[in-house]
Parts: sequence; C-alpha cells; structure tokens
Amino acid sequence: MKLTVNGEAYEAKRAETVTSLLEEMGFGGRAVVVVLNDEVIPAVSRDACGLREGDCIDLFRLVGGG
Amino acid sequence: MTPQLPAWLDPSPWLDGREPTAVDVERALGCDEPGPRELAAMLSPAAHPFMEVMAQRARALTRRRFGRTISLYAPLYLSNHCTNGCVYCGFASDRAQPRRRLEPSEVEKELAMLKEMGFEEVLLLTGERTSHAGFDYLLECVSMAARRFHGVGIEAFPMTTREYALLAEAGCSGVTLYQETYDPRQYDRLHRWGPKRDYLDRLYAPARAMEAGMRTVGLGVLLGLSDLVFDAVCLLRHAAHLQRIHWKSGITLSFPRLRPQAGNFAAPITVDEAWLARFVFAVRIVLPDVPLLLSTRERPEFRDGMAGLGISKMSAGSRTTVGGYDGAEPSTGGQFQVCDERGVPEFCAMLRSRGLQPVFKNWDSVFREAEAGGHG
Amino acid sequence: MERQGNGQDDWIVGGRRFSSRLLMGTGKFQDSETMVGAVLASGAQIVTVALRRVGRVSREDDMLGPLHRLGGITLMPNTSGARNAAEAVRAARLGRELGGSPFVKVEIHPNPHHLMPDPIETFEAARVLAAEGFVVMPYMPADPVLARRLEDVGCASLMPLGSAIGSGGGLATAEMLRLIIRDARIPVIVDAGLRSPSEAAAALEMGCDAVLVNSAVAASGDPIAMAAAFAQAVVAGRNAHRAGIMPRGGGTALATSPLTEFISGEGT
Ligand code: SF4
Repeated sequence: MKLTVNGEAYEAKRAETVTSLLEEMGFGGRAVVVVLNDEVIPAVSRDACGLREGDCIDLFRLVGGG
Repeated sequence: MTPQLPAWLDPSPWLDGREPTAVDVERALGCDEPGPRELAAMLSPAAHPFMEVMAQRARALTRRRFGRTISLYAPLYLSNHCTNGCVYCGFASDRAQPRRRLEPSEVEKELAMLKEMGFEEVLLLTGERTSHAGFDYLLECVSMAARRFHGVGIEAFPMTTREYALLAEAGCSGVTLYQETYDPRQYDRLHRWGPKRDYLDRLYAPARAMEAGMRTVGLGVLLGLSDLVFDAVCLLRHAAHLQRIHWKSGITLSFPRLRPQAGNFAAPITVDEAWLARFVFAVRIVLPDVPLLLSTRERPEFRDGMAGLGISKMSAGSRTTVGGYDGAEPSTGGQFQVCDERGVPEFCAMLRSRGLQPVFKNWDSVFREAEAGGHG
Repeated sequence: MERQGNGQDDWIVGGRRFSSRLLMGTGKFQDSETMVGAVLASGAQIVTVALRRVGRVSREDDMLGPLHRLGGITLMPNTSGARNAAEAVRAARLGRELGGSPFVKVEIHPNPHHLMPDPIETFEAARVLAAEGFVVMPYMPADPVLARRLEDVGCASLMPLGSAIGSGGGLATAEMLRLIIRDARIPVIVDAGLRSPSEAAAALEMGCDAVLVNSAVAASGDPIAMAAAFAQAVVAGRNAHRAGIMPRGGGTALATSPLTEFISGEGT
C-alpha cells in the first residue's frame, strides 16, 4: 500500500492499521502522535484505525526546545 | 448599615498605625515604584520639611509627561435641584436656596458664551437625579454641548452602565464622580438622606462609566471631610484598580478642598494650603502620568504657583451658579465659592508669563464617530 | 504587588501551584544527560519542550524520555516552528496529545534571523487556544498593550522578552516590563534574552513572577553548575523584591530655587 509518511513516499508492507504501521516502522512503544490526513488520531483509537491507499501520515514527537 | 470596603480598596495594609518618620519619607522619595505606603509617608507630618524636594520632583514629572502646558476647561452648572442631604453642600435639599434649571435655550446661550471665551472642553454639572433635571435632561444637554465642544464631561449622579453608554453615544467623553470620602462611617454621617446615601452604588459608578466606554473618569475626595491619609490612600487604590481593569479609559484626579458655603457647615478637618500642595505633589510622584486638576476654589496666587507643579489641568473664569455665564444677575447661590475670579484672558496671560502654554483642545471630536464602535 | 502568594511564596499558573520561579528550556544541550542534570539542578518545575516530526531514517537521541521519568515536572510544549496562528494552534493540539498537559507556550516568530515574536499571529493563536481550554503562556514582545489584550483573551501568564532571543541583551525592555508588571493580573515571566544569573535576579527584583532560561544554561561553560546558579539568583531576586529594595540616594538633595514660597499654612 502506497502511503505518504512525514512528507515522503512510503510503501507499507503488511500494515493495515495505524498501530501496525508504527510497529512496522519501528516506532512501537515510542511516544509519538499520529496525524492521519490532518486529523489527530488519539492513542486509544490506533488499533481500530485502518489505513487506505494514498493516506498521508505525519508522526510527531517531543524534543528538547526552549 | 455601613458597607464593608472591598479588598481592592481597603487601605488598612498600608496604614499600620505607625507614624511615618523622616527616614520613611526619604525612602518613599527614593522608591522606584512608589505606592500606597509611600503616599502615606509623603502625606505624614514628617514630610513637611520635604516640601521643596517634593515640589521639584512634581514639577519635573509633570513637565516630562505634560510638557509646558496646562489644559483648560470650564464648569457649567445646569441645575441646582437636589434631593440629597449632603451636610457640606450649598445645594442640599434643606438649604433655603432658589432652585432652578437651565432651559434648553439657556443652555445654548451659556454654551455659546463659554465657546466665545475660548473653551473647547466643558463640564456639565447637576445635583441628584430629579424630575426637574433627570437623565433625559442631562442627555439632551450633553447632545447640545457635543455639537459645540470637543470635550464634554458630566458631574452628576451615579448611573447605570446603559445610561453611561447612551451619554457616551451622545458625545460625552468624561464622567466625574467624587466619592467625597471613602470612610464608610463618615460617609454615612455626612450624607443624611437621599439616593447618595448608597456608598457602594457611588463607589462602583466610575467602573460602570468606563465599561460604557467613557474616555476618562474623574475621581476625588472632598478634602476636610474625613481622615486625610485614609481617603488619600483609598483614592490612589481606587484609581489604580480602575486603571488596571479598564485599561482603555483614563483617570483624572481633582483636589477639591472644603470651603465655606451655604449652611455654615464646619469642616471636621482643616486642610491648609501647605497640606493640599503636598498632597498634589505626592500624588504626582505616585501617579506620574495622570492628569491632576485644580479648580477656582483656590486663591489666584496658589493656583499660579501650582500650575505645572503636579497640576496639569485647570478651570478658569468659572461660575458655580446656575446661569452664571450669562451676564444677568445670578439667580442662585454657588455650589462653592470661587476664589479665583480672574477672566480667561488674564489667567492665560499669567500661564504664559510662567512659561506655560494654555491648551483648550487636547483631542478632536472628529474621531468620535469612529470611536463609538471601537471603544469599550 | 501580591499575586496569589501564600506563606511559602508559591505562585499559581493554570491552576497549578509552583514553588520554583525558574522555568527551563530543554533545547540546545549537548546530550540528554546534561539536559536532565541541568533541569534537576535548576529545580525547575515547568520545562518547555518542542514538537518535531519524527525523523524516519535517522534516530536521534531520545532527549525527553529521562525527563518523563523524573516526575513532578510540568511539560510545556512550545509551538516553535510555527509561522502563523493556524500552525501554532495545530502544534499546540499535537503537543497536548503528546505531553499530556494543557500548558502551551505559544511562540510564533516568522523571521528566522531576529526571531522576534509576531504580535498579531500570537494574539490570534492565544485567543483560539485559550477558548479551547489550553493554559496559554504566550512568548511576546514586551508591549503593555499587547499584554493587556492577551490577558483579556484568557492567557494564563505573559512571557515578554527581556531582549531578542539569543542576544544575551538582558533586560533591555525593563521600562516596558515595569508597565506590564504594574497592570497584569496574571503572572509575568521574562523569557528570552537573559544571559547571566544577575539578570534573572534583576527581573525578579523588578517584580516579575518568574523567568525562563535555556541558552544561558545550555551554552554556558558548565550547564549543570549554571542551572544551579540561576536557581540561586532567582531565589535571591525574589527575596529582594519581597524585602523591599533600598531607595536610590540623592532623592532628597536640597533644592536651590524655592518653588513653594507661594504656599501658606503649616501642612496640617
Ligand atoms: S453635593 Fe451634589 S448631591 Fe450632595 S447636596 Fe450637593 S448637589 Fe446634591
């Protein structure tokens, strides 16, 4: 499935939900927030949130800042 | 029942009963941001020797903020009908006194005379709200004045926010309302009957005026009614409170000193010129950017000396009788006795001789329209 | 002025009570160990963090993991990187999702060179976020009118700059800060421009409720020691403010030309 992740093209191998995508990309267990097509997906809804061809996903995390 | 002072007004944290010393006064004068405590110190007997220092400071601050200018305005007494029993006032309802109000045609005439004298700012005065001179009457007078004058203020009775808004719409830019004294018990004694007995209604009226979009609100205490330092600190706190909440409106402060008038009321406290002057200096030091007013209650030499020494705005050529500017014999007594009876040209000449420019117009009513929507 | 004080001189913002008056930024440190050490040494109870898109390939250090574990610290995401109100609002919503706290430092500086905050976009973002229930702490120019407008739309505190970000100019805006402090009914926190602990102390002496530092610690010779020094300075400044600072000298020098000869009376 072709996706756009953080502005770059990404070919998902098996992932069909947000949770499985995070695992596939190696972000499982890390504090990230997921924005799917400009909509924030709360952590509790990730399992149920299915992905479709062409979806845009942005992943954010907190870093050091002033 | 005497009301409780609201926390924002209560001066007691700064009046701990300890008489300030010269050290406290020096400390106050050296303070970066003087407040109620410093004001109290500068008003104490210990500050009398610092008079000259305070005067110098007051002049420097006044000059820095207002330049070498004095704004001028004229009071216009519309009516002396009153239902209140303020023991200190010649217009109180138990005083034998011819009562009258100016009819619209007379108002026009008086306004025309003031305009002739050069004024651009007028303060319209009435007593308590009565059937002779109530809100609608005042509103009509404001509209008339606004057609001729750039600044129209009123000094009347406390009103509702809606009423203040209607006045503002009609062109009123300022509301003056003295609390007279902030001491609720003394207030209760001095205001024997009438709506003015309601201390809190009066106390909150300036805030309502500001909420309604008035550009300026004038505060003051009638000096000599009650403990001077108590009243002074309350006045400062009242001003600071309003400035903080209603930050788009301005404050002015006046320094009316109780003078003999009808009824032979003897002031409980004597305020001499030296104290009055020191009060003005101290307020200027504490509030460097607030216009401070002095009326014609004071004698010419004192007024001349105070111009620019803290004081930035003065009345001149005033009549405190109803119908006083129209050459005809005044039909009523005055609310207070005018001590400085000089005419406007003479007064302006005096200011100029002291290096001060008389200013009749500080802003232009051309902005009034645009402002009605944006102010508030 | 007394603002929300109690016996311990705590201060309150966003409904939370804090005893430390030093806020720390967590950027620009060489490693997370130093950053955490500095935060600990500073005693800060509010620390700012930024929000970034996750790098897909490069795996940067997890700077914040250790902070989460410290406990007792309120994380305040900032909106740095946002160039307008819409972007800042979006960043704030994401930050809340990640940080789990309603605190947000609204920070919008469109010019990448001087980094001065955009007052108009900042105001707009603050208005929207306050209405959404965020605890909004806007980084802002030291402008008393803007301060008032931000307070009126429901900001929880004001964060005027002492001088330009990273300039180390100290309290160049002191005169404006005094006006802001005089009229504010919410805490005033000086943010940006402080270089040394003495400047932080001066801000608290002046009556600021707290200061926020980052570069001054991260870029110092020994960040952990410097964080501790700032902590001491802030306490000293606050105590000095509470104690009441000695008046300036020379205020009562004898005047030469008498101005008061016209006055009669004894001075009651
Ligand atoms: S002070 Fe005002 S309210 Fe009181 S009696 Fe005089 S005119 Fe009436």
